[in-house]
Amino acid sequence: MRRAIKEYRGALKTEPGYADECLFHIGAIYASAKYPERDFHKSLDAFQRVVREHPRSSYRPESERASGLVREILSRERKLKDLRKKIEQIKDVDLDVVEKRKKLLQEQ
Amino acid sequence: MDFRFNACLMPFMAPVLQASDLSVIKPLALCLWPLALCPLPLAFCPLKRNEELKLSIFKRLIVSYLAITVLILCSGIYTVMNLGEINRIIRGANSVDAQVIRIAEEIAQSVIIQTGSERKYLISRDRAFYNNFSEMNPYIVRKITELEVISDTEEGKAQAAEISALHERYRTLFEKAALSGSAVPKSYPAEKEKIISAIEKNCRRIAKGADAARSEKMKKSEEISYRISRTILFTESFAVVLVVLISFLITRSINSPIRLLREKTKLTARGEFGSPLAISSPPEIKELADSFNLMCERLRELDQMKVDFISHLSHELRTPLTAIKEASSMLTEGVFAGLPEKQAELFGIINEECERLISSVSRILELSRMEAGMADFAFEDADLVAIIRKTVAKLSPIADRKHIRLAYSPDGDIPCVSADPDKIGQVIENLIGNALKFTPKEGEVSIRLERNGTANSVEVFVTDTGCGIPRESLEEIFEKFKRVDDRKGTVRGTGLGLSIAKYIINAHGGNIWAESEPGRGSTFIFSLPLSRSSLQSAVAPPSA
Repeated sequence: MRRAIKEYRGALKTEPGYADECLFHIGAIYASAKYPERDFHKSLDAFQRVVREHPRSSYRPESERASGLVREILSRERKLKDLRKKIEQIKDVDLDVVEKRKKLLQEQ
Repeated sequence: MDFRFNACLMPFMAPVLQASDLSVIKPLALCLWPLALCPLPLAFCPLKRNEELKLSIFKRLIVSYLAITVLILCSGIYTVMNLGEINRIIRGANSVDAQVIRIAEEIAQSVIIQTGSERKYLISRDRAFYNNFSEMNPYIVRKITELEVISDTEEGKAQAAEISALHERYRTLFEKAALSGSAVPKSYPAEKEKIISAIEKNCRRIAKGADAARSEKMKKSEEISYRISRTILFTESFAVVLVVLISFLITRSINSPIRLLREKTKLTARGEFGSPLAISSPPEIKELADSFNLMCERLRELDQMKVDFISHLSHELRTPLTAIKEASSMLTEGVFAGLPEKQAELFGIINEECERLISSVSRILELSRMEAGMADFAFEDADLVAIIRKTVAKLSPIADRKHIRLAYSPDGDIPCVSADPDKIGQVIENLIGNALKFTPKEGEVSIRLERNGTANSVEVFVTDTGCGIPRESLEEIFEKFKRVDDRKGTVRGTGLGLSIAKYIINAHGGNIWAESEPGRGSTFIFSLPLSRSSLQSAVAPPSA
């Protein structure tokens, strides 16, 4: 897949008439779960370029739907990250409470 | 053993009064002063002027052991009272101080847990954490109220009230922060931390105060325990010393006079009567000593009597025996051979001395029989006038021979008496015989009878004009072997006649005594009770 991305990026320069197709496939590969270096930001960027740079392309509707999905995924990832942060904070609170209680017992 | 009330008590009180520790003085004084009120010292007081105050051995033991019991009882009461105080202190430490510490710890722990819920809510805005926070509130408020109620010091109550106010502020602050949405005021954490640390500080202070109070109470209970131990040790030691001292004194008060009695008994057994035993001792021993003295006195009298008896007996028995021996020797040797009138005289002497010997032996045997309770009396309504007349007739020749006038004058109508005529005749014969013996020539012996109306008796008076009897001997003459004058040349006799007479008269329920003045003669009087018939006729009205 890494090679495919490389080939598509090369074709963007050598075959400008197939740029929309190349960008669409690049976006699809970056969003694929099978790709070890999955990157939703790069995938979104590729799909947005199809919509923005090739408005009449046959890949535009697909690219619009795909960019919407990728945006949703990115939003949920952000929320998950936020939640994980809060959980860590709550854990810290619990540890702090346990520590304080222990300290109180030791003082007594 | 010459201590008395104060002197006896001071050795025991001195260590108490000199003790520097006042906590010891008070209880010990309380324990010991009852002793001062008890008559213990007087129980052992040996001073002679307090003889009447002396207690018997039994009472001494009772008083002494009562004193020891009072001492131990006081010690026991003191111990019980102090144990009650210790119990109260420990109960206070357990029920107040321990609970204050526990509640203060619970409040501090609960507040920490509540702050955890509060923080987690502010992080997550999860309603569950808010509910947790709210659920903790009533529990903490209840505990703070308990703390306020249970605290036994004003400081503790004030600190509990401060915790309550701080917690209220914390709740209000949190409610504001919760309502403010995600934007918690910047001042919140610092303000909250200040309140929470103030609550924790107050809880710690209360717990420390209660802990210090508990330690103080424990220390106080330890002091009381030590004081009790010391007091018990001192009191028990004192009681032991007292027991030993009392045992020593009582034993000595018994042993010392008994030792003296034992020594005196040994002396008495050797025949050394000496002076009466004078010992200072408890009444029981004193009575024993008095009885012993009485016994010694009686033994001494008996000893003297024995000496007198032997002396009299040797005189009264040996004199006739010597005369008989001499006369019979002369007859055997034929000193008066061919002189029948002289031989007849010697035979007369032998006969007379034999008669005297028989009379002496008979009297001794008679008195012995009487003293042994073997004498028989045949009581009947006896006519004293007839008895006296008979006796006077019997003794008239002797009186005539000695040229003594023997006068008898019955006084009117003399009633019959209850008597053994033979025995009373013997008494009258003895009295008249004695009177004739001691009355010089041309003297007079008179017999007189009188009725004593008040005593319902008849009194017989035998009066002589002899040498008389010294006043101090008027009673002694009725004792066995007692003679007023034992000098040579005085009238001979066994010294038993008057003793027998007294015994006979006393056996009749009468009395006998003598009245005399030396040089002016003597009068022997005896009384005999009227017979039953005489008494009845005296009471009955005269018949028509």
